[in-house]
Amino acid sequence: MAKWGMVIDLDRCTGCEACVIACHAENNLPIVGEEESAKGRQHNWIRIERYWEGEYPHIRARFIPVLCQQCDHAPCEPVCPVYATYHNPEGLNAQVYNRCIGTRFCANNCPYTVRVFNWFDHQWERPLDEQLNPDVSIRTRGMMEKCTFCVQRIRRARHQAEDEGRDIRDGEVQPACVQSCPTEAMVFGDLDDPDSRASQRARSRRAFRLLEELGTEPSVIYLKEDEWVEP
Amino acid sequence: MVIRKRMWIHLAVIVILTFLGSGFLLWSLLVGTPEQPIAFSHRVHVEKHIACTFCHQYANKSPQAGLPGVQLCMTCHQVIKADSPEIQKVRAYLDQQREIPWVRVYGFPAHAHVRFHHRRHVAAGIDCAKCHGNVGQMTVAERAVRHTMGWCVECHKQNRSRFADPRLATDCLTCHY
Repeated sequence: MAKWGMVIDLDRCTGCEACVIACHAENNLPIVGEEESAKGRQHNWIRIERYWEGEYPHIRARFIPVLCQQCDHAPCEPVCPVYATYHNPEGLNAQVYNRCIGTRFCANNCPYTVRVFNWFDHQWERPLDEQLNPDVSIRTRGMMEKCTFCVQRIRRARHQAEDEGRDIRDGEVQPACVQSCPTEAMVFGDLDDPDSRASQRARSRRAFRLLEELGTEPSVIYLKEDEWVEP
Repeated sequence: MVIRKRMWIHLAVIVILTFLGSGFLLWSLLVGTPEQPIAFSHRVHVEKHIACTFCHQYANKSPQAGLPGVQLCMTCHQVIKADSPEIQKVRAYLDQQREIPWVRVYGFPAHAHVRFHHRRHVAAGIDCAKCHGNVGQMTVAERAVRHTMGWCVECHKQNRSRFADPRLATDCLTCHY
C-alpha cells in the first residue's frame, strides 16, 4: 500500500498562488471574502506564507506553501471525540464529513493551522454552481475540512490501475496544487517506493519538515538551502 | 354498555389505522415507490432482452449510471407503439425539446457525503439486481433495496480480498470524501 507524500522545493517556489487557486477550483472551496477573512475565517486548504530575509537592499522574499502535512502522528486525530478524523492505510489524514460534529478541537490542536471550519452554508450562485466538482462533496455549516491530498484523484487513479490490473504508476496521481505549479516546485508520490520521484527528492540534503521538533512526522517534506546566496 | 363497547372498537380501529398509516409513510420514505411522469415499465423492456446499459449508458463507464435522453426513447418508439397514449407523452417532451422529469428512485442524500462509483461495482462483476432489486420484474421502478451503510459495508467485508488492500474495504475514505 502506497504511503502518499509530497515534496515542496522552496527554492523553486515563486509565491504565485496558482496552487491556491487550483485547490479552490478542484475541491469546491468557497470564497468567503474580505470581511470574513479579517475575522480569521479564511477558507483555504493551502496558503502561501511570506517571509522577508536579509536587510535592505539585500532583501528577498521567501515563500512557503503550507497545506495539511498529513502527519503520521497527527495531533488532530486523538482529540476528536467522534473519530471523524483518523489515519487511513494510505497514510492520509482523513476527515469524515458526515461524522464531524464541529467541536473544532482538531483545528485548535493543529500546529500548522491548516484545518478550516465551515461557519456558514456556502452558496454558489448560478452559473458558478456549474463549475463545482462532482467528485468532491459540498461541505455544509458546522463541519471541519482540510486538504485531502486530492483523494478523489487518488481514487480515480486507483480505479484506472485496477481496471488495467496493475499498481498505480509514479506520477499518475497529481493533486491539483502539484499539477498547477508552473515551476514544478511540488512533487507528489509514494514515499514507500524508494524509486518514486518524491522519494528521490526527499533524500536531498536540503530536506526538512515543518516544526519537526514536535514529532508529528509530517508527510510533506520541504527542500531549502540553508543560506541564500545573493546572485 | 353496547355503545361503550362500540366506542372502544372505534378507538382501537383508529389507533391501528394511525399506526399503519405512519408505518406506511415511513416505509414509503425508505423503500417506497416514487410516482413517475410516464408509466414506464422496466419489465416490458427487460423481457425484450434490452440490456440495462442500453438506456443507462454510463453504468459501466462512469460514476453515474445516467438516464436515457428522450431522443433515445424515440429512436425505437418512432415506430414501436407510436400511438399509445404514454408514448404520445414522450413524443410531446421531444417536440417541446424537454427532457422527461423522471423522479429519482435511488441515490444518496447530500449529507451522506457518499461518492458512489457505478463503473467500479459493475467492473467488479456485481449484478445490477444486487443493489437495485429485480427491476426486470417491476412495472414501476421501486426502492426494493435499502442502501444503508451497514448494507454496503456487509458486502465490502465479504469482498475484502478484492480490494487493492483489504483494509480499504472498510476504510471511510473509500466512499466518503
